[in-house]
Amino acid sequence: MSKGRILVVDDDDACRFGVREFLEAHGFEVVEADSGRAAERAFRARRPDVAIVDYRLPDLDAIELLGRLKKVDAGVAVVILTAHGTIELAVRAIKDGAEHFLTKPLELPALLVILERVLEQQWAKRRQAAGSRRDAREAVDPFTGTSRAIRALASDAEKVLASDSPILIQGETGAGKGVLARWLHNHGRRAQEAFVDVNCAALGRELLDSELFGHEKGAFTGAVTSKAGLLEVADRGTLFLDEIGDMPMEVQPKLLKVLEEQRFRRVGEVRDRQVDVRLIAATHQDLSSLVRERRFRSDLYFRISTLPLHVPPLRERVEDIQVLAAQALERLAGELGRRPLALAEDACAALQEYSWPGNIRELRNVLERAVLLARGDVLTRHDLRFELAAAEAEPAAERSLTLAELERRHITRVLADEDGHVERAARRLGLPRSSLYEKLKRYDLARP
Amino acid sequence: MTWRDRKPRLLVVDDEEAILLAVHDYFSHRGFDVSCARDPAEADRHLDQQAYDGVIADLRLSGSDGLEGLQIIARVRARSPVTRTIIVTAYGSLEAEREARRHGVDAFLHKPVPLAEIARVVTSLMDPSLSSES
Repeated sequence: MSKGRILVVDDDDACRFGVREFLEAHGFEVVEADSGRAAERAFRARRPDVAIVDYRLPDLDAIELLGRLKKVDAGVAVVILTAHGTIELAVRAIKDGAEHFLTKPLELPALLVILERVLEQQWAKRRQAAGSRRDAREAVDPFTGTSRAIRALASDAEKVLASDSPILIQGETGAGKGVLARWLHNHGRRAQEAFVDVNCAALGRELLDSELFGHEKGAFTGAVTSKAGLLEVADRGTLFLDEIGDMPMEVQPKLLKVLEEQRFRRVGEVRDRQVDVRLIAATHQDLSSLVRERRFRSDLYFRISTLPLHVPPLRERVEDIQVLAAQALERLAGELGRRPLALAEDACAALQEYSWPGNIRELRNVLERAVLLARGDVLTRHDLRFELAAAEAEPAAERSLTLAELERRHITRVLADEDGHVERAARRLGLPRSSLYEKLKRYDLARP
Repeated sequence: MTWRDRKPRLLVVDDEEAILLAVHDYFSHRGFDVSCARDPAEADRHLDQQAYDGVIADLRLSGSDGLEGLQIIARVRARSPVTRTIIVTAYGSLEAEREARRHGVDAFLHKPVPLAEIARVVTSLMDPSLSSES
């Protein structure tokens, strides 16, 4: 990952070459242009963060070029160079939106200081624009507990931090895949950059397409202005694609191209743009079976599956439940401005007996409800209302079931709750409707 | 080399079905005749039936800590000295690579590796103008 992409515009080859050598040695990526028109072309194709423009160009003057570049991308910073540094010129350049004005012969260390400051401001702005939910979730430690399953995840996660390859997080709904993705971003090399979070299941094909890749004005009905895609917002940072198993087949090749060539196109655009993102993908589905069923592209799977992380379901880490519950209670107390409630022994036992199909998210929900309803300072078993009502009645029996049987029972219950409405049941179960139909067939559950 | 008169034949060995499919799809679309095997025994059956121009094997099969990929390379070598062999692995220790070279492997690639890169290696190994044994 480079420190920044810099466009150097000067018709003097020696000067351009000198600046290039110097900037590359300091970790920047350099794009060159020897005329105003070449600069415009390079600018559209490569989207530099900063343009360093010589005042005298063979075809345009720097002020005119400045205007054209800002029209393409208002966020670009422009540094103007001139051999005849007059005050009037400097004032005009700054008025027209140039960030800095430097005189030739260029003092390279001064240029370096300016570039670093400009880039820092730019990245601060971009992080804000990402508006990614830097909420309380950020502080959550995804590896709370001492169970073998969670310690194994912690050690696997440490190992992938150094790499820049895509990461695939698999795990059940509510098990903490998003929290882990956020942790990976915050502890990786791109921590200072944007973290952009997109749920592929929540958007239809067209919306996902234009949200992710952006679109040009007039690309489709309603596209009255050009819009940058989230990929551009995530440039140099991390793109978190949740529920990647639900990404439509038509969108998958475009994502593959981003991963293989670091290129993409906005919808309705004819030229490629460059982008540098680290992908973290997550899914609760078994992606390899989607590949076998030809519902997920095998080449994309090949590309994203080399660094797999498996988030264990809560029932495989029963010994962590107590500390997770205590943590959640403390958090809830903070939000409500109260003292944290204690957990009675029988309540703790009940939490450990329950099967937690909704995992940590469900644990939080159950505790939140309990805290709101509880009257004393201690939560007892009586205060807990589980989402699987039947689990309370026969927890021990429930725990001896196979996973398949548990799934069958849960589906039956949810379906009954929803009066046999498959679409609503699928939504509640966090499944695509087609998967629920398959399960109904597999478990021989007749649809009412 | 005879493979110029027909489609080049490729045997791919990996215990993960989705990965097999990925390599199968990629090379089939590019004019290869691709066979797949999930374990050394299945690979053996394929090798008994016909000669291959290239074999791509994962180093570790069936989730074990062993290096079954090397067994496969050794068996390929015993049958045909001209078959090109490639190991692709996520567990590429230096010893493993040395061991693979000792077994006569032609290329040792580390995951993550793009499919296009595997294809580049396969084709350059199979091209007779680049191969000393043809």
